[in-house]
Amino acid sequence: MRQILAIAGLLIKEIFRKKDFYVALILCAVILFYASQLQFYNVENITRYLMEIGLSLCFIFSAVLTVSLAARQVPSEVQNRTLHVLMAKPLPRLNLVLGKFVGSLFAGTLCFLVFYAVFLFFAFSKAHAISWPMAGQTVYLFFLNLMILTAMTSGFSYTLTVSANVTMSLIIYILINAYGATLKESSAGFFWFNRWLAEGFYYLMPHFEFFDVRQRFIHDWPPVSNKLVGFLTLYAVFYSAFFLMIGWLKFRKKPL
Amino acid sequence: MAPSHSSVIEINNLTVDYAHKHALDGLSLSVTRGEIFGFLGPNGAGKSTAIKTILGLIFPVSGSVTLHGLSPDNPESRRTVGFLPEEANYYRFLTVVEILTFYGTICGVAKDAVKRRIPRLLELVGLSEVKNKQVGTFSKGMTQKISLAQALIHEPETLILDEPTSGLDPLSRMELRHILKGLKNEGKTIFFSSHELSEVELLCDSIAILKSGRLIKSGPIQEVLGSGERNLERFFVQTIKGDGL
Repeated sequence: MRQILAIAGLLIKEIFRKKDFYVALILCAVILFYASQLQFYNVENITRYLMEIGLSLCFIFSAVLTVSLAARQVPSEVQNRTLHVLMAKPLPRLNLVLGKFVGSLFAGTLCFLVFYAVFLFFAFSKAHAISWPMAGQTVYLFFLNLMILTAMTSGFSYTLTVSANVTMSLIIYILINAYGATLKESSAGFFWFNRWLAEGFYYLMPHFEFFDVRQRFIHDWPPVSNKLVGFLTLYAVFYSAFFLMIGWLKFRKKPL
Repeated sequence: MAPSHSSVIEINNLTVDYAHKHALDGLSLSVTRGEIFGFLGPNGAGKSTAIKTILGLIFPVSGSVTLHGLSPDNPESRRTVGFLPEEANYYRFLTVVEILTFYGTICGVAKDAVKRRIPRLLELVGLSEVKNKQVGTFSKGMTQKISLAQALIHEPETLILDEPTSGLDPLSRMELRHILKGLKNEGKTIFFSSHELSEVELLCDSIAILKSGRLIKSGPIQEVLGSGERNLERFFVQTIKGDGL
């Protein structure tokens, strides 16, 4: 466990000592600041719309930072030869896989929490009523969402190059978020082979959109039931374990 | 070659392939506890491949390796081994102290012990003054010193060094030689590959000479050189150029 936490700690230091996070934070704060200054911000529906933009920014920036961190870990360590020194220590390969995953997930979550705090500050300053249970549930469900995304990117990083991995992970993430819910229905009119492919994709890929409760948060709807949150937790753990196992199977006998 | 209880590294008939070509071809050798063992050969002879196989970084096609009696597949085989790579890079965003703390933790050294050892190691390698600087801007010589410090952080019984003097200035080489002699006096086993034959001659008890992945000569340095030849460099050139195979 100490080894896993040590590797995870390294990733957290990495993300906060490089410029990427601060660039994203400044960008996020500037966009939210200008959005909050608009005159029609007090119109309720516009306020909700702008809140959605703010929350989406938090999700997108955190997802991009997490994907780029998780994707570059192993390929850049192989290229820089830092992995040779590390793996020459009494470190089981499984612990490296888990350490990289836990580190990327925690680093991404910490980034999200900072962006989210900025978002809540602007949202609160406009006196919009915030449902705190819903705000908390949003954080937890996004953490689960990020868990699957991190595991997927980490799993791919033992096979793909950094750029291929970032591109593929983000495309899958965006596609599923945008079309995941309607993919099966919309494939009904496809040629049988295309339908078969679309349905295969629908059942195989994790449904990131399950964890998206932005609408509930923005429209002050009640939080989802604990039973559903429990189910989503199991769903995220299952998919994360699946992707991490793929990564480990690839890495356990990979020549370095 | 029969395994011996005093052997730290035991390699038997080891074959490793790179792109369908033998990088190592039936290599057998044994490194005895407490000795300094020099591993020689021209570029591409397979020295780094052998070291990577010993450390479990790459996997053989056939043959066997044991490190402290364990297979390199078992991470525990590296519990008491320190490794200094030929070309090392470290996490550029970490300071020297953070790097040593990180590797100490990975090796399972207790927090207090790591804290105690770091100042001593930094003094040994001469990095005390830059201990809180991030290593991104360090020169090759300084990076090599970090390499040595990280290899020693868990007080290993055995050191495996891949071209340790590569890129070092004469003064740093002399310092490294002094450190290695000190470590040998502490009873540590040192296995190192090198092109610097004068270093090898000064330091080693035993040597092995490798060419195209195959072992040409191996044994105590005086036995290998024989009674007629006293200069390792001349002997090495003759062996490599001659029909040693």
